[in-house]
Amino acid sequence: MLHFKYLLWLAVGVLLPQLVGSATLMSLLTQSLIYALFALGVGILLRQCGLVSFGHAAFFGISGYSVALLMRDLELGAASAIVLTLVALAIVAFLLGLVVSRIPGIAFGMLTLAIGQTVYLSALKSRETLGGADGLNINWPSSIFGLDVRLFYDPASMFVISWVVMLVTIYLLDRLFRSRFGSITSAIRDNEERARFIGLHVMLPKAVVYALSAVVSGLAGVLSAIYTGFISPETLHWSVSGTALIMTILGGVRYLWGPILGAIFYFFVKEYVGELTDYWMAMLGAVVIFIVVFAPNGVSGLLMQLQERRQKRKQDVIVRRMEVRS
Amino acid sequence: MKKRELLKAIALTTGISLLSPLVAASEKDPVRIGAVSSMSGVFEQQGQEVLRAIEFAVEEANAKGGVDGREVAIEVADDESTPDGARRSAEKLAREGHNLLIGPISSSISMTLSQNLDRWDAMYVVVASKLDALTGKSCHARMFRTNHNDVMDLAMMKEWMKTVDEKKFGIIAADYTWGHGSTEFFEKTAKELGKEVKVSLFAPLGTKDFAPYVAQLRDADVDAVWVAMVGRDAISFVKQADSFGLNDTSRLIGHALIFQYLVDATGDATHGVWGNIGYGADIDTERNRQFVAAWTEKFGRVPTENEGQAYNGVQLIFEGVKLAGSTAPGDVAKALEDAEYESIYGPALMRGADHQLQIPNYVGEVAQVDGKLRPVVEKTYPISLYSTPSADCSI
Repeated sequence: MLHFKYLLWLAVGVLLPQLVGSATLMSLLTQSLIYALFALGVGILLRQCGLVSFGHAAFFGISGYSVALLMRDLELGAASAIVLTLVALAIVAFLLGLVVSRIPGIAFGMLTLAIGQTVYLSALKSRETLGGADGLNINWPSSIFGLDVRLFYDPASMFVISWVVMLVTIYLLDRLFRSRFGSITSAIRDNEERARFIGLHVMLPKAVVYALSAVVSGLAGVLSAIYTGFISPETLHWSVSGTALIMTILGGVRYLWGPILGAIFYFFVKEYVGELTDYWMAMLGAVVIFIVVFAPNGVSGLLMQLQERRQKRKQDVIVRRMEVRS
Repeated sequence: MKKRELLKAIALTTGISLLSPLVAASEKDPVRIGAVSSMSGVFEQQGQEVLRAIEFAVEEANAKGGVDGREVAIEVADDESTPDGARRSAEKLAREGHNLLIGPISSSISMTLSQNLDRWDAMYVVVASKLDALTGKSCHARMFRTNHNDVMDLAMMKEWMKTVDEKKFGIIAADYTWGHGSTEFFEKTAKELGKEVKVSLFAPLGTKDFAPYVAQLRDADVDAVWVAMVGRDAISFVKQADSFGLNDTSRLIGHALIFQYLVDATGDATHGVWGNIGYGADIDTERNRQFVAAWTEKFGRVPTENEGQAYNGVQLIFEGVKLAGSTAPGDVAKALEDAEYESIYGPALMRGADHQLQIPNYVGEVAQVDGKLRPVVEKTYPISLYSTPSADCSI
């Protein structure tokens, strides 16, 4: 049943580009999907650990820089550069997570903000290697993972690639969070003290979630670097982390697909409301406030609530009919 | 009866097909310009100037009957002063057919666009970014620059420095790529010319309080200060340098500093400040006189540096369309290689080797003209100062 659902969504992703005629719209969808993966990275940290990160742009941007440098200076192939980058990112983020995830609440947010801005400023100042404020052009080889590079440039095929990456990521995360590991992290999130009392090791699982969320954000960064062919310090700026966080809050984190919905929502508001008024940010802000106050589980939570209510009404009708019959 | 109708039909079709070339001539594909620049963010000020001039150039062309018998259509989009924003808005314009792009300010935005020109089937004219690499290491077959680049500016400033009497210098620069590049250049040049740099200071972007920097410059007792700062920081520095009396003891020399918006924002603090000028209303050519006259009639003032440079960039697109007889970006780009034409700077050559427009460069001073302070061109330097294309560029 579970696998069937994923196959269905896979079919939707493959068919969508056939139905959407406009390349502009397709490109918008592709970019929102890349950011959706980024928001998912931020989202799992919030979902499993209750931690709000203001510095995930660091992982998003570093992966692009790292792949660019590995290909340029060490002349690695694209595939090995990407894999090496993600593995390194996982290790570094795990070690970092061991330290930072000890700190609760707002202090954690501030610390991640500081780390993020440190990375941003370092990139800005590294003139020789990273090109400073002017950024780096990334010259991709003619094929990546055996796929023609043009597939990555075309919005329609890039959409399918990003869609598949996203589905696989959600599938793996879902499996992981449904396992014992998921229960442990949820327990730690809900009451760390009690989790420690019942003999759970609390630091390792948190660091693992932190590393996972970094890798998912990094994966989005790699996709973005491929699609744009360019990386600059702006990608590392805290406002990018903020955007991902807003997407996450909009979509809600109870369901893994929440942040993804949030990202798509964000991009479409920006695109269409942004065309009508320069004050689209203010309107989006109002929506965020509304969601935080009235629907803490985001748009995804609202949707599921509606569906549950409908199902309940259906059940009520059945029950009533049975009562009438008896 | 039937025969007559048939004949009529034949006559009609022949008539239409004979007329059709005429119809086609007046209904040629329009020139579709995609103007992307900063309507928000750090570069908003310059972005507005650039967009104003692009729109002016398009209106003017349409009023004169179009370009190459074509109407000129323009779409405008905001790049939010970031590469990511620029990528989105430029892609949208290009994919909607407005694929003759022009307008961004910062070099990082120009780099992003150049990476995507082939994908979007677009062409891009740089009018404000000065980074050497755009016509060097990162040059592109579909990207052209009509403003001066850093190498051209610095080659000229070096020449100008030979005529400067001051011996002891101080430097204050913005603490990022460009500011450091400018400082390195100045230190090297000063050494070659037997002058002394007594102090080099770097102010982080976003600095508001320049008092400590001004104090250090004053204490160093220098004859002149080389200023390489941008945007709001530059405004704050110039204001504070004035109020602390630095201008009285040391002359300010600006690298890309004396823009009209800075002059307007700092009262008379910039009076007498020297620096390089990329475009000035005083440039003495036939086309520039016409441009300045038309602009003054519409806006009641002369065009600024950014406005002149943007206007000049649009003219290059028009020139390309005329030469190619097409609006397809690939054709226009090809036609522009080694194209020579009459620009507001006089005769100009779009050098095929690196796509850098070959035009004179200027040094000037902020002075009173008709009761208003503005940068005035004092010296013109020929293009021969910068005659070799970058070896890093292969198109």
